[in-house]
Amino acid sequence: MSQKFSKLRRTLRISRWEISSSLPPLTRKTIGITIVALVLLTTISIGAIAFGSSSSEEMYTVGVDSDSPYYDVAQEGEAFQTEEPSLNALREGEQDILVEDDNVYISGTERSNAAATEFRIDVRAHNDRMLNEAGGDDAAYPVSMTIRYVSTTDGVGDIDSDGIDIQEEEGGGVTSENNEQDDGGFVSTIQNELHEAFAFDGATTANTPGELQPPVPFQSLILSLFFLIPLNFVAQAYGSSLLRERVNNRGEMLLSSPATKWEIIAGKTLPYIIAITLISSFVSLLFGGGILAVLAIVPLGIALLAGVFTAAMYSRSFKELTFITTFLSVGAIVYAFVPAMFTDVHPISSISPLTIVVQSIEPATTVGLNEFVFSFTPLAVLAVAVYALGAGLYREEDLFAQRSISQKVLDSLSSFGDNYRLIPLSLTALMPIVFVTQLLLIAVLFAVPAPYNILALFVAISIIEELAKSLPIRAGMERGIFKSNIKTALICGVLSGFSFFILEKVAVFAQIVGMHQLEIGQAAFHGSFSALEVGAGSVGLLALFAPAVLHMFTTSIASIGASKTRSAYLIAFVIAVAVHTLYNLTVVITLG
Amino acid sequence: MDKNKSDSKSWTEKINQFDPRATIALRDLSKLKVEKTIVMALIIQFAIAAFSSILVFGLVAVYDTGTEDTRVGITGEATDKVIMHVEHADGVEAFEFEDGDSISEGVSEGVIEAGVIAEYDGDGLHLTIAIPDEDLATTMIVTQLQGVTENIENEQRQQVATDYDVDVLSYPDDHSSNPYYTFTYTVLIPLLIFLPIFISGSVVVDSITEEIDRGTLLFLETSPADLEGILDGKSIAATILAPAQIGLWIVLLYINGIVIEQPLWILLYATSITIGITAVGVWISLVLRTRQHSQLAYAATLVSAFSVLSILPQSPANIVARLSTSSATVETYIFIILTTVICVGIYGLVRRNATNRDRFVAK
Repeated sequence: MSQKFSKLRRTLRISRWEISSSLPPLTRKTIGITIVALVLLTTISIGAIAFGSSSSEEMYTVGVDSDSPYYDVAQEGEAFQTEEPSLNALREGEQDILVEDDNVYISGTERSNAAATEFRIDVRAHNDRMLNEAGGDDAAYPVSMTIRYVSTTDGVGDIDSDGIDIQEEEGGGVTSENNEQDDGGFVSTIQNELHEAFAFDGATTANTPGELQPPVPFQSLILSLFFLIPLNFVAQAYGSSLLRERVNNRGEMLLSSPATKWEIIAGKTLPYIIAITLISSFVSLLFGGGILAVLAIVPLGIALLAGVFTAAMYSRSFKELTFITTFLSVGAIVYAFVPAMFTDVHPISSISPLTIVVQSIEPATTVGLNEFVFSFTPLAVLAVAVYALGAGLYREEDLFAQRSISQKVLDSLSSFGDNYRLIPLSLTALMPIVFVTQLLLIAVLFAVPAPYNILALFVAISIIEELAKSLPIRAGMERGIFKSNIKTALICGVLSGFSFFILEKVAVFAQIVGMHQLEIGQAAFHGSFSALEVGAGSVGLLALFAPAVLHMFTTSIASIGASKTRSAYLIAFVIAVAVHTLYNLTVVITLG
Repeated sequence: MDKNKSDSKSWTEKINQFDPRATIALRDLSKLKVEKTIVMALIIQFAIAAFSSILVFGLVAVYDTGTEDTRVGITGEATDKVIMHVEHADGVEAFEFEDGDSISEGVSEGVIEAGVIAEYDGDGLHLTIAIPDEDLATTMIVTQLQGVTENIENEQRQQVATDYDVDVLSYPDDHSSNPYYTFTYTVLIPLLIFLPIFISGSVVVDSITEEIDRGTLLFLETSPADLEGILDGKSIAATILAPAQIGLWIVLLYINGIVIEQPLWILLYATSITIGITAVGVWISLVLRTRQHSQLAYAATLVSAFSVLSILPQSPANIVARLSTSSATVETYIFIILTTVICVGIYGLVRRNATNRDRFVAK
């Protein structure tokens, strides 16, 4: 009991050091400067949002007479500049829209179409305003709407109309006014300002045609930037502090103290987790999000810190760390943003913490526990796995040595054990990374034209999987944990292939339990995703065990190479990847 | 440490032969190559490019019905009115139905993709829209129906408006335009242009704080190159990187079918900003000395500067958007030239002050 207590005390003491060494001395002057800087920064950013000019300012040109009723619309709309109407200018693309009397002409180019879409929105807003001023809501909204969701039956001949499940959603009045009930305080004024700027009107059910909106992803993008850019600053500071320890042997002292490796890591990380929590709370407060929004964002922040921690262990210079940190931050933004585009559209969106943030901001929706678990779990598993990989390097030989990154990767993998246990343990740590990388790949390769994307996807997946399976073996061979002979290599190969197979099944099982519908993948990624599912093996008994045999076989090839020289490993690895890819392609062609 | 020594020897030798500034720039650039950081930078940008193609092409593809029209079943008192509007619109086809139940049945069985029950409600009109509860397909149908329902609404409005003496304008036709066109030019391209610039500044901060941290800035200073030369060299390296990446971007986007109209002006604008930003980065790192504080201050300065600039009638993002769609006005060019002058001015100022050795190099 007292031992645990002293451990905690040690961790907290390291946290205190971390804070005092990374902050400038707390004199009255530095506190003053910091407060002034913070206040200025916040005021400036909020001011820029409220009064800043839009980046689409005067992007399109409207040819319109100054006595036309459309003239005011074009003048007021911020995306437009006006000119005297000229048919020639429209033809030559100098004007995007031409208004003659009551007719609006466009030239049919992509740009002109886009301008017309924007103009339509402005005309509508103009009509809204004019009618509202003259006759209130009754005049402005003569058409009311109810949305009825009808469940569909895919089976042919199922005509029993009693079985139709109909849900009706109907709201009373114009919902956007709901937001205006507040105490009029300073915070709520800012909140309203931001809500207006980003079109969070709190309406999930359309009551007038204008409110019938497809999900627009831009508000999620803006939100992700607001939450993640400050996180990026924290991550940068964390990385600097870690890398500093490694320069000129500064971390030597801490390492030779009674504190264990994990105590030191926890102590050095704690202040940054607190910083992330405070910043997320502040941003959440600005947007009127609840405590759930904070709880959703913090795991993403911790996963980012985990990535930066490992990057700081690997990198050799500040520059390298900056690039990796930026890369990880961009990755975090993509991870948060891409699924969040499907908020209110598809359950897969709940994998992104931003969905929970958006839902906690919109007053009409509630966040379910399973949605929260769904967003929390992958990030938590990823963070733990990445910390485990990085922590393998938190020792004297690696901290202060200028070793190449590949050597460091082998070092961190070999730190998982000194016998065969090494293979399943390090694979467990690698698995979440493999999984997330593959998910990202699907998203990225989706833009490549049709037959090539599946091929590229299969090659990439084979490379990633073979790399994950053979690297722990190579690490064990290099560091002398395994003997360099054929027999050991085969044992390692089979063990690694089998462990990978089991872990993959566990991951797929967790996925099925977690989200029972993946039709998003099929709808959005057409062939490639379903092909992947077939490749992962879910049809019949043969298909269940064939991948196990495949994994053991290919890893054994790579393993034999890994037991020899570097170039032998490379050749064997290429063969393993080729076999793996061919197998996947064969499965898809014969079964698909 | 050994590596450092041999490194420094080889470049001190070179300094005797070449302009020391070029040598330092080359040394910084070659360091980037050795550390393969430039590969990381390109990967980052590739990730964003992929991400943008998901946005620009992917979502359009997801929301695109393809060649087949969306079938809409219509019933109720105002059937004729709705049918007229549906037939006028692109990509939707109207079918008359008996009653609400048959509409629900039709949607449920997939005979029609959507149904509209239109009833008069006092002076107004009430539409009940039946859509399948599948998610992605529904989104697409909703997008198509929005145009139709808005047109119906506007027609109703024009009838109502006579009572109030208001001129209700009719809409331009709803053409199926790429909904991400505006987004591409006003958000994505500015982002892609400014990201390499910000990273360049960040690299300069790293480069200088690292020299200070390892104690090599002092060492560099005793070399034939003076501090001014060192700063020039470091800035040149960073200033080459950003426009090179932006140029690559412009080419890549062009291959992807996104045309940027005035690439040279964009490059000029981007290069000027890079000069200014790297100068600010140099100044901050010389004053604050540690990477941790310098990077934070650098980031905060950038955020503030861009927030302040966005209050101008033409914000930096807007200038890029205008140049890339050739919507630039005379003011745009004035802003660009002003930016160039100011940024070069900042550089000169930092350079002059940096030579105050006692203040910056001695500990």
